Amino acid sequence: MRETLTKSPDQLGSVDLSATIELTPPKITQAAVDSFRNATRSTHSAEIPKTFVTLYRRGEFDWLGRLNVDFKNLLHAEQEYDYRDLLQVGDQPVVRTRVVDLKERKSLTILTLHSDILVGEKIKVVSTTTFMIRNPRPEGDA
Amino acid sequence: MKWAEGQTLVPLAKPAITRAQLSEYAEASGDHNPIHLDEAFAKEAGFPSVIVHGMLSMAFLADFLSARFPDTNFQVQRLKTRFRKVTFPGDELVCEGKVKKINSDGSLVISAWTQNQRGELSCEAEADILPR
Repeated sequence: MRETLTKSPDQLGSVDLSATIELTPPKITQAAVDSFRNATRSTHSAEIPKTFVTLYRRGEFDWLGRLNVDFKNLLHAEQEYDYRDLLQVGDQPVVRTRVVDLKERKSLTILTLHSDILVGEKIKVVSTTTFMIRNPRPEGDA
Repeated sequence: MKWAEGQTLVPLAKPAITRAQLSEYAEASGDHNPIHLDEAFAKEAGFPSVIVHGMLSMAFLADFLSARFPDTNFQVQRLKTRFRKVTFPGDELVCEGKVKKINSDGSLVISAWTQNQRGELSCEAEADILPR
């Protein structure tokens, strides 16, 4: 994963791309796990679903807000989870989300966000999310 | 069970995705992006209707892998998914996969993907799985 931003903070006005958003979502409850399992029609009930950590994307949405991304132009291109340890019901996660890459192309901006999901001081899951943001066409461009 | 490179996994067919399921998933996951819930918004974004959360398709793949490689015997160390094609309500996804590689430490690299009822690849994934 490249850690170098291709767009400097001054190009985005007052947005500090080097910031880390830290959030403390609610503790993991059995009810939240069951709700997620039901919504995904999970056939496997012995564990917390692997993508349950999608509940901890609030920091990503906060970044999209800071960058003034129009959701009409937003596409989720890639998602990667690196599982360091199992999450358990009762765990209190802390999520730290930062921008690791922002590349502008002619018609697209590619934004990569990295989140560490910790319980206590231990990183349990590392999430890497890549969004493609369709850039508006210039005026007069058919 | 002994695995071999190229071995295919038993597919998992998921029921057709409904709009009600998208609302349910939005509540359960916290992803209330209107492109998944609001028809007018989705049309303004250039889609014929609301689109399915990519993460719901990834959840299907994760469920598929958990069913084939349960936590009691395996540890999923990494799961990476590329969202290739937009999925719509009514689509029926089948999860499929195969053993791409067996490493010297016994860990498996699994290629997995979802295919819709039109035979289109909607997501593809790679997972690193370690037998316990």
